[in-house]
Amino acid sequence: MSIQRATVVGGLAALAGAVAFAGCGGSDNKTSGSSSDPIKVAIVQPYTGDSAYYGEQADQAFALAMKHSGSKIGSRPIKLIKGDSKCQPAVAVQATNQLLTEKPAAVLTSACSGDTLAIKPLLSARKIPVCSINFASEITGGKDGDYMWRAEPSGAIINAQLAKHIAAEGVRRIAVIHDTSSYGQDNTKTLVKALKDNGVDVTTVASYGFTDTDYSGQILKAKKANVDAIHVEGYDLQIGHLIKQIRQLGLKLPIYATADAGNNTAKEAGGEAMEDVVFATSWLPNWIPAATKFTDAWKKEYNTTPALVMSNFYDCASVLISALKAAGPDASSDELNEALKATNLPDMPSGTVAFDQQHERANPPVMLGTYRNGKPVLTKVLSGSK
Amino acid sequence: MTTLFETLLSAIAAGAVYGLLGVGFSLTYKTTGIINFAHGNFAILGAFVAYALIDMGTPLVIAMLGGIAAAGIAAGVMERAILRPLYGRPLIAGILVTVGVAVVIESSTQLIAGSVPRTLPSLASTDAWQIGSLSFSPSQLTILLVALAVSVAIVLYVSRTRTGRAMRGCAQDSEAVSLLGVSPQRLYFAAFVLAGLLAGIAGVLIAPSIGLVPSRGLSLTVLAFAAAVLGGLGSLPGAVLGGIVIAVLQNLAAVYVTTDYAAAVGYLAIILVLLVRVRGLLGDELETLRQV
Amino acid sequence: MSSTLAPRLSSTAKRSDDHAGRSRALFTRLLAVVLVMQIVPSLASSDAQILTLNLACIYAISAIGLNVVFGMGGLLSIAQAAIMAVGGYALILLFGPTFSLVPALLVACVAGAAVSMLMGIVAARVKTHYFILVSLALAEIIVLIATNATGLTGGANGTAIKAAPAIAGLNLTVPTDFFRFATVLLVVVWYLADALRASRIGLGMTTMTVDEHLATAAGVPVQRYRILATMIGGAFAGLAGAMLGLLDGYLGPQNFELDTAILILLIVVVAGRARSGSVVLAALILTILSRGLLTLQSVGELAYGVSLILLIIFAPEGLGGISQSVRKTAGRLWSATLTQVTARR
Repeated sequence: MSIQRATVVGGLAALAGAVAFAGCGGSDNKTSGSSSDPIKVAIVQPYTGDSAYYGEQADQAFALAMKHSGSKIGSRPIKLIKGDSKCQPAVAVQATNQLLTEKPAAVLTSACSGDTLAIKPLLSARKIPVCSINFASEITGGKDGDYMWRAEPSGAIINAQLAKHIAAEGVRRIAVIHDTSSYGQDNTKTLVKALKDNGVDVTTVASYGFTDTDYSGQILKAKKANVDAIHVEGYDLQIGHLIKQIRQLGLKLPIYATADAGNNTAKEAGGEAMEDVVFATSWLPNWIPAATKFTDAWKKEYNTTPALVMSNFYDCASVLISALKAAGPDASSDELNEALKATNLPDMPSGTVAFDQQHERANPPVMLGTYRNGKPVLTKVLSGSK
Repeated sequence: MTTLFETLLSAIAAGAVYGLLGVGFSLTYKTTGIINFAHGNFAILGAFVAYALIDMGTPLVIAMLGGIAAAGIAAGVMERAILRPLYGRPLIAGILVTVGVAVVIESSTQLIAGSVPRTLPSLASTDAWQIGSLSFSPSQLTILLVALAVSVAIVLYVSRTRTGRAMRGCAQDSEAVSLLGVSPQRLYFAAFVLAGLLAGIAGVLIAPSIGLVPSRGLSLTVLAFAAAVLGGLGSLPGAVLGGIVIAVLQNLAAVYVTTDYAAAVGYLAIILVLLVRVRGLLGDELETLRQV
Repeated sequence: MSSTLAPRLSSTAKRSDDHAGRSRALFTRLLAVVLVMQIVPSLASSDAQILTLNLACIYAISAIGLNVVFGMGGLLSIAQAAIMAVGGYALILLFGPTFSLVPALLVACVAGAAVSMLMGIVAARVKTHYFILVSLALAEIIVLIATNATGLTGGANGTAIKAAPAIAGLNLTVPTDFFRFATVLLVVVWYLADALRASRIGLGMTTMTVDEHLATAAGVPVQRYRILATMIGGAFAGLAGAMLGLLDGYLGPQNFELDTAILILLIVVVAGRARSGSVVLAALILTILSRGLLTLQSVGELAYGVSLILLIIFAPEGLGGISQSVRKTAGRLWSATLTQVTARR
């Protein structure tokens, strides 16, 4: 074998070695160190893979929050350390384990429910406070829930309101189409229960895979069951295409959807099919004046219209910053946790952010949006005040 | 009854594209013996280029043709730059280097396009036509017709033209092929470019239904692989049949049995078919003698 | 076009001449490796690096298993990651409520062997590329079950370990302790695989991959050996999956998808059809390349793809080929030096 080949392979091995050890130049700082040591806040999000936009949006939201609320606690700057969870619970665990070696003071957890559920015990064991925007049921509570704070209404709360509305609209039989992600599986559980509690018969439940290329099987199963309405759940890209195909297969009945249907991606994917689709969400760009202010600021900074997730990330980032400030630069994790408990931020884009006894969002905003002339608009606020 | 027809119709429309993916995949194998793990990525690449062109103001059909051409060019570049040095080496190297190419295409598309998923407009309207109580959309029909037409064209090309016929036997015996007056090297190149074009066509057909996501390449390659092997690796009509059979099985299972395991039903059926008919649905006798 | 990497039959013949001696040499070599590995943790400057090394050990064990299935059984399978899932879920579901650690690990190995054996049986009828599709189908079915059997496996959410993993005084949630545990298992697997390769059965298997008809004519029970290869490879995969569950304290179906299966296959091919030493080295390099780049995101993935292409183009026989050449060159240099020295006297 030639020297040239040996060199290339040797070079690659060296590259691997260099990469492996390069990223770990820093030492493990303690959270309460000298007065100008940075305070580390960990962000665990999908930064690659299908949901990579969540990571990008979390970064943007935190940057904007730091711009508005400051990025220093006393004389200590906030330093963001990031881990890529790829929206896969087991990868989230690995990424979090790596981040934990740097001893962060607080965590902004992944937008993917499965990720958060997987890392919850890890973080609770180290008593690290976490801010979450997830929908799944078991995010808060349980033996690992002491340090978990959910800044947005859970899927169970939203679905309870939505089911009431659907029943009030006269729907007797409904089909539920959902994906097999952890979000999808959990949402279906809470939705079906809420619908049944309101006297609506869930005749069909059909699931699709995140990477499926065709939904006709699931849709035709619903069509066969002769229902009055269909509820669809999914991430924004899939939901748009799913709704498009529902119309393509001749179904004219009312469609209800989860919050992602209000996103720009869903709007583009669904096109004309989105008209009159009703989605349940906890934020819309102009629902209150504070939301409009936030929307304008985001547009100015990042050149796009913000959606639900970005406002949620902004809420959590602001919550973490304000709690860090309130607890002070040398706070212990329990003191930080107490500061989170006492959070009271008015004029946030989602209203006043505070937590109740169950660590859930107090006075949760829930509203319905629909598409009129190709644009998502607010139709009804179901709960939550200004 | 209506549901059954609609199920089959939708399945055939979807399956025709799987079949088209399989045809390109099988063509590569037939000519060069290589299993191209990057096949699905070329499809996605074509769709992305089409989107970029539309963004710049190009009319839809031209943009799609542009995307298709880009996929063909990329495949040709892969053959020349990356596979060339590997001829004469064990086949497994050629196969696995396509995995590297797949990763490179996926990550560079992600870097250039960013992480927000985009949507490609479809060629025809997606509103439903009603024929009695049956629903079908012009878009589905267009996809079906284009996919079938292209597949038929390729099958004819391979069985009628000299280059095509040379491709048929190339993987089996490249020496005999050169006796026909065609250089094997040129054939490999042509086969990959052709396969790239086919992948690009499949990509712009399927992208309006699933969106533009760089990481979708692997699942399309898996579809192509399944369709091609089920139909009998190396048989182009087999690949089309394989694609349709997979889609029909999955749809029937989803509508009448369970959506959770619909894909599993498809896979189980594949295993059973292969156990019974070792060479795939339409594979030729040479395939039955295949050794490791 | 031939589709095989031809093993060097002459060298295997030499090996069987001195079987006992070779086994002893292998044993001492591995013992040295175990001792060296005890020092490594203190060299690493952060826990994060050790976590990556732990993952590399796990993939190495799985890859050694696939090397048995492919390199010795001649079956190209993309199901190795899914077999890991079988072992992994077996451990996660049974460790704590039903079994203690060691029995749970054994069950994981047996479960992996049993499911993998199915492929060996199918291989009697289905060959090469068709076999790849069968392995793909099996892999997808396993992942689908893991994703949808929410009651049993936790579904897409995954499921957490139910008891604190500890063995022989080691607390497996501590990265350095896990490293010691993992390297011991790795060395055991390494020894078993290489011992198999050097044995009569191994020789028969290698002949089988070169020319099946010739092997049958020579009296090699081809189908039985195939099943044996898939069982052993499956057992190793089951063990690797179980270890992954212990490492993360958590398992989800996403751990075991095609990406992982392809990574393991790449490790085996980059190593070349060689002995387990090359496989371990390849596992280390590829794990670091594909995972250690968590911070560099898409750029990291691009680097991974490019490195892969370069590696395959410039090292066609993989690391095994390189180590052979290195040894040959070193041997030549050594005898040349000896001649010089003795000549001078």
